[in-house]
Formats: sequence, structure tokens, C-alpha cells
Amino acid sequence: MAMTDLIHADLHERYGTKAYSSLTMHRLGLWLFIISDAFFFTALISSRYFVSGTDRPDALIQELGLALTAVLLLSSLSAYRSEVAASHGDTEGAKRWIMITIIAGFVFLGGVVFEWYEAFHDFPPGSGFGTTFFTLTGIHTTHVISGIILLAFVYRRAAKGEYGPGHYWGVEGAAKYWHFVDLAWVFIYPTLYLVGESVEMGAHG
Amino acid sequence: MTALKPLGRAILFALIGFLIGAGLSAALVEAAGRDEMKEPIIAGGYMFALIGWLFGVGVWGSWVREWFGATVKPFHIEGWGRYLGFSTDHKVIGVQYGVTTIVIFLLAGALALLMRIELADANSTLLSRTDYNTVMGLHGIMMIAVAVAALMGGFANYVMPLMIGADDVAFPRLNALSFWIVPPVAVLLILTPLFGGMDTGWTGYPPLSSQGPTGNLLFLMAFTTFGLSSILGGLNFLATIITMRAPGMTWSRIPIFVWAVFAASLISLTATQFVAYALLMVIFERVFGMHFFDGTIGGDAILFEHVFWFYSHPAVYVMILPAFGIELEILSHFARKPVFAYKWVVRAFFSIVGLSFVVWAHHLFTSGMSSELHGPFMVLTELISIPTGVVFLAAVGTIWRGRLWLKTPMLFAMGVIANFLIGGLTGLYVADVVTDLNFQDTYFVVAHFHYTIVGGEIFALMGAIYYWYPKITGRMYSERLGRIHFIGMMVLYNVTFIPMFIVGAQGMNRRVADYPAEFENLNMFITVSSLLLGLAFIPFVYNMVNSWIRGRKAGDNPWGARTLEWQTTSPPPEENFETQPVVVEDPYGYGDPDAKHFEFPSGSGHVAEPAGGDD
Amino acid sequence: MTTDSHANETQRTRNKRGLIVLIALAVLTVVEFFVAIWFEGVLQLTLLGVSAVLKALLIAHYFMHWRQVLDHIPDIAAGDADVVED
Ligand code: HEM
Ligand SMILES: [Cu+2]
Repeated sequence: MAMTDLIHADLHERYGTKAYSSLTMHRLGLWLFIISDAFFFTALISSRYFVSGTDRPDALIQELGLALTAVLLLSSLSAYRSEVAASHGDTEGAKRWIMITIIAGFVFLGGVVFEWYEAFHDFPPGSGFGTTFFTLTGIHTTHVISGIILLAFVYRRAAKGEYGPGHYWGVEGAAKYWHFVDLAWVFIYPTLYLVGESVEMGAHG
Repeated sequence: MTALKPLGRAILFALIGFLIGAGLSAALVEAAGRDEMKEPIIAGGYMFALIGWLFGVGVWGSWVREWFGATVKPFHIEGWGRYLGFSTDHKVIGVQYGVTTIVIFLLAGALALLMRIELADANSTLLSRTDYNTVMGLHGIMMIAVAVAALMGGFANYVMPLMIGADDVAFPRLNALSFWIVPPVAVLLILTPLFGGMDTGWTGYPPLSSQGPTGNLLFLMAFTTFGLSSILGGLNFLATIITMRAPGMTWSRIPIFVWAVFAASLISLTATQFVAYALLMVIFERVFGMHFFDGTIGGDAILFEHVFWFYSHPAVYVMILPAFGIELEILSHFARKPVFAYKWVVRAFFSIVGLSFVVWAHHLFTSGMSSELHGPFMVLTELISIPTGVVFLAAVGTIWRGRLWLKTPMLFAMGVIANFLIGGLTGLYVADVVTDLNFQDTYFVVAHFHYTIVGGEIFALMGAIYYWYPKITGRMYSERLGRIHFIGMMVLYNVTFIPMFIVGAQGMNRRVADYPAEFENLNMFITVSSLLLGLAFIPFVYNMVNSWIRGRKAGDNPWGARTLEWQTTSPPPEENFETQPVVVEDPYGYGDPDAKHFEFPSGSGHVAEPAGGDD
Repeated sequence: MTTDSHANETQRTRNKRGLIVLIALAVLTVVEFFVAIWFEGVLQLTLLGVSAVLKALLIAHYFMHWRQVLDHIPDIAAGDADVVED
């Protein structure tokens, strides 16, 4: 494997093209996925303005929205630190920060469950704002859940000592995905909680 | 027997998955006190069934096991059995896609003939109106799926890695996954008539699609699933073309078909997310009782059309770009001349990709969209004719004063030039607001898009099949049957579809089972010629099957072509090339005896027959 | 491009950079919160949009290292001017 790779890289050099490493390939693949998914979120977010304009119901719990955002931002720091730790061969650190990220993910999920519980009364899925609210948070939450699952697998492999400096793609990939989930929320949060004016909306408004 | 094991396991897991999913959803529905809702149960069951199917067919054994720290058991079977499992060889996957899409193509073609028989006279005779709509919708969506997947899933998969001198695609397991997502799509579509059918046609516009029978739900889920497959395929091809080109294969040396796949993949990767969302919105309306399209609570049915066409217009370029690539490839090899204006063609491809994202609303001229948008979208749409015209001129320039070798693939490629000219020119009439207000929803539109998709893409698909058949099967098809197929298809195709422009211009609506009696004569004519057109496919199917079994050995490079896929055995070994080829020049140096596209530097490589220097 | 461009920095400097980015994100979030209260209409929408894009850029640049991939785009666009690397 290593030998043929060497020959291959050598051929590339002689014939004037670039040999890509498998790490580059994985990174590119993940970025393509992220670009694709970003298109989905674009459609999602623009439909909110199309379906329910810019107004938001006064029943939204502003403190909760802010708290959810804070949790997700904090978790992106912990994801960042796990990647840094892994790249320096600090397995213990990587494990710790992955675990913290997972916990933050669960706290976020708890917040969403509470929020949904309240929202069911104030603006149910069948109402104008409720339609977009539940769609946006619902699809974002599936991303959070898949991110948690990904991190859990990576944690397990880190615990078995499979990562070290120069080979920690698992940690890097999971962290990148987690950052993307955070990035999507950066747009979803103002779209749902901040834009427009708070108005009174009935359960069917 | 072992060959059937993966499929059997997949079906078993799918059934178990369905029961689990349906059970969970039923419990949820009951907990919510909404016992009357059946569709959440079907949707939940389907989601789990899909996962079960994929796990059973091999995602578990050759992939997910790894995440649990267990060793994977890659699928490996020799012989025919390898087509029935989770093979990660791009050549196997290409054949799987190819055969599947051709079977679906023939089925959907049969549905079209059924519609034509119904349309032979002005009243509903054979089919009830609802049945007619279901048949029409299924024909539409199956053909769209074929058009999206046959060239990209089938030929791009098989040929593109060979053309760039790679040993596989960038993510082989993902590639297998994108294929195995497709069979559940077919199952859902086949089940649709049993659940009340669907009235919407392949575009699935709400509110009809969110209120009609459960058949609509199956259609929506099938289309969404298919989109997923298309996205993953596009991702894989982009990563492959960027990172896996052979040494020396610089960007200006890659074959034009590879550029076309690159451009089309950009669209699959991004725009497809929009159709997924459009369909999901309708699914959410049906399953969760949401309201996106209800004007009384702030929603708007036009939202669907915007999101839907934001994908579905670019999607027509997912169909036609690879077709352009194949057309130019074949024209160049059989005219023994370089692709004319290669760099301009590449630029044109990317202009088409860019423009295709800003023209979607030409499908909404009559939908009640704000009329300030009409002008801009008309102009933007007509702008696309410029890069499309560049590709057309490049095709003509490539064969201009060449010595044409009129083998079957070449005949089909030249058919593409002629047919697409008609398709493209009539596009202008429907892109122009004033004329479209009359033509929208008439047979004129039907004729237009059949000229682009059938006359353009399907003709290119047929050309591709004949061109690469010797490479894929190692055997030569019968040239005589091939020519009979071409002549029959070319003549009868035009005879069938030209009259549709006329009835359309006279005002006959599309998507109807009965129509004013004044159109009866022309429709009878169309029906008869369409049935004959169906017969033209008999020599094709016979030729394909028969030659695969007892055709004569084709040799490595029967066309004397220069691109890399011909510089290995037919069919190629699993690793594609015994030694790594390196590229020294572009592949189109026909006419120059010293030109060479590639070399095998280590010396020992497989030496094919001399490539292309024979002119 | 296979190695992280920050690999030769100490873990400490990189951790510190992460913290600074987080603080910037937090500040922008608080600003957004009050923008929503103090402004309305198009101005509000614009300010919120600008802030969200800034936050996204911070995340994409410092946390997701998009340069790792963006740096490849010029040589893809450069046609045959490919260069040899690692
Ligand atoms: C010269 C370029 C083209 C132009 C200007 C053009 C324009 C249009 C317009 C304006 C419509 C809407 C007509 C209506 O509903 O009233 C339309 C429909 C359609 N076009 Fe094209 N088109 C072009 C090329 C293509 C190509 C290359 C394809 C496919 C390979 C294609 C496939 C379709 C399809 C499938 C429809 C009908 C969709 C439906 O309502 O079911 N077109 N075209
Ligand atoms: Cu269009």
C-alpha cells in the first residue's frame, strides 16, 4: 500500500499533476456533503419567510432560544478543543472534550423537547408559524442527533487509542460536522426568534 | 444460491424494519389521540424498511460493522452473482444501474403506449380518468428517474473512472449505497396504483398531492428517496474527478464526457436538496398535518412550485449535459477529428450550470406568480440558448468535413444533433412569455420536452450503449440490428412527436384522457406511430441479450479510440489497469500520427491494439 | 495540504484562539438579541443578516478550517497549471 502510493506520487510529480492524499479526499467529501446540506437549509429557511412572513408569536420563549444558542456555541468550542487535542496526540483531552460535546448535545435536545412541549399549545404544527417552527427545529434536531451518534462512535474509537497525531480524521470529521450543525443554527436562531416583531398569534394564526 | 443471500436478507430486514417502524408510528399516533391517521404509519414503516433493506443488502456487513470495531466482510462473489449484492466495484455498479434503468425505461415505455391507446379516440374508453392520471404520473416519474440515472448512474459510473485512469471512484461503498437506494424507489412506485393511484403527474403539485389518495404519499417518498441517491452519486463523482485523475491528466486533458459529468454532478449535489425539501413539505402536510400551502393561514401553494422547479429545471441539465458529453465523445472518435472548440465547450457547460439555477420560474408563467418576474425569467431562460448553442456548434464543427465512420453509435450521436435542434428551438417558444401563455399545458410543451429528453438524451443513451457495449461485455453487438434499431427509432420517433407540436399549437391540453373530437385524426396517427416506435425496440433488446451471450469477441479497442477506457481489456480487470497509465496529451489528437494520449511508463503494462493512429 | 496548517503551534495557542472566537460569537449573539428589540423592518433584517454571516464566517474559518479545501479551488480553476504537491 505505502509502496505503491509512493510510486504513484512519484509518477504524479514526473508528469506534472498533483497526487492527493486520502485525507484530502475525505475532507473534500465532507465539504461537498456540507455544501449540499447547506442548500437544504437554505430552502428550509427561505420557506419560513414565504409561509409566515417575518412575524413571530409572542408566545416564543426568548430566554430558551438564547440558552439553546449558548449551549450550541459552547459545544462548538469543546468540539474544537477535541480536534486540537487529537492533533497533538492528547487522547485523554480529546476524549474529555468529545464527551463534553456530547453532553452539551443532550442538553440542547432537552431544551428542544421542552420548547416543543410548550409550542404544541401555543402554535401547533398545523398553524402558520408552527408549520415552519416545527419543520426547522425538527430537521435541525435530526442533525443534532446524528451528530451525537457520530461523536459517540468517535469517542469509542478514541478510547481504544485509534487516533494520534497525523491520523485523527474521525475526530476532525465529527467535529467539522458538529460545527456545521452549529452554523446552521446561527441562521435558524434569528429566523425563528429574532426577525420581525413579536405579535399575538392564536393557535391557528 | 449464495448469490441470492444478500437480497433475501435485505427483503427480510426490510419487512422487519417495516413492522418496527409501523408499530412505533402507530403507538405515537395513538398517544396523540389521532387514531384516524393512517399515513404516519406507512411513512414510519417505510423509513425503517428502507434502513432495514440497506443494512440487509450489505451496508451493515461491509460498512457499519466497522464503526463498532468489528471487522467488515466485504461482498465478493464471482460470476453473475456479483450483480446481486453490495459490490463496491464501480463497473459492477454501473452495470447494475444500467440494467435497472433500461428495465424501468421499457416498463415506462409500455405505460406510454397504454396512454396512447387510450388517446386514440376522443373519449375515455380503456382507462378511467383517474387511472389515466396514475399511468401518466408513473410514466413521467419513471422516465425522469431513468433520464437522471441512466447516464450518470450507469455510464458515468462505469466509464468515467476508466477514462481518468483511476482504479475506482473516491468512495466505493457510498457508490454501492447510492445504487441500492434505487430498488425501494421502484417498489414504492409499483405499489402506487394499489393505494388509490395519484392524479398529479410527476410534478406532484399541492394541494392536489396533499389531499389525494395515499398513492400520492408513496410517490412523494419514492421521489425523495431517489433524490438522495442522486445527491450521493454527484458527491462521489466530484470527489473522484478532482482527486483521482491519473498522473499527467491535467484539467485540459480530460475527456469531454468527464467534464460533462463534473458539471452535471454540481447540479445533482446542490439543487437536488431543493426537490427533497419540496416533496418533504407535502409529506409533512400529509403526515404531520402541517400547512405550507394553505392560503387561509399564511401559506402559499406557489411556494411548492418555486422550490420544486429550483431543482427540476437544473435537473434537465443533469440529463442533457452527460448526453452532450457522450455525443461529442462519439462524434470525435467516429469522425477522427478532435472535439471542436474543446475549451469553449467546457466553458459552455459551466455557464449552463450557472444559468440553470436562475431560470426556474419559466415554469410558473401561468401559475399566478408576480408578473414583474416574467420579463427577467424570460430573458435569463433565453440566455441559456447561448451556451447550448456553443455545444451545438461544437458538435457540428467536430464532424465538419470529417470522414465519418457511420457505425451505430455514430448514427445515434448524429441523431442527437438533429433532434436536439428541434427541442432547443421550440424551447424558445415556451420560454417566451407571450407564446407560453398559449402553449403552457398543451401538447406543444409535451413535444418540446420529449424532443430534448428523448431526442437528446435517450438517443445519446442508445449511442452510449452501442459505443461501450464491447467494452462492458467484451462482445460485439450485431451492427445490422443496431442500424435497424436506429433507423426505426429515428423515423418513428419524429413521426410520433412532430404532430404533437401541431395538436398542441391548436390547443389540445396535456394530461387529459379525453379531448375535443376535432383532434381525433392527428391523435390516431400519433397513436399508430407510437406503437410502431415501440416495436423498434424489439431488435434492440434482442441484440443486447443475444450478443451478450453469443456475440463475437470484440477485442480491447474495436473503435481504435484513444481515451483510456479502451487501453485495457474488455471487460476491464477489477483494478481497471494492470499498470498505472500516465497521460501525456489530450485524447483528441486524431489526424496527427505522432499524437499520443497516454503511456504505460513501467513498460510491463497491458498493451492494447494501437489506438487511433490509423487515420 | 495534508497537514493542518496550525500543527506547529502549541496546543495552548490554539486553545486560546478557540476561546477568543467563542467570545466573538457570544458578543455577536448578544448584539443580535438587542438588535431584534431596538430595530425593526428592513434595517433589522439587514443587521441580523450581517451578524449571522459574520458568525458563520468565524465558524467556517476558525473552527472548520475551510481554507484547507478552498485553497484547492484556484488550481482546479487554473486549468492545466497544476502544480506538484506533497
Ligand atoms: C434551449 C433550452 C431550453 C429552453 C429555452 C427550455 C424552456 C422550457 C420552458 C419555458 C418550459 C416550460 C413550458 C411550460 O410549461 O409552459 C419547458 C418545459 C420543459 N422542458 Fe425545456 N427548455 C430547454 C431545454 C430543455 C432540456 C435540455 C430539457 C431536458 C433534457 C428540457 C426539459 C423540459 C421538461 C421536462 C419540461 C416540462 C416540465 C413539465 O411541465 O412537466 N428542456 N422548457
Ligand atoms: Cu425549465
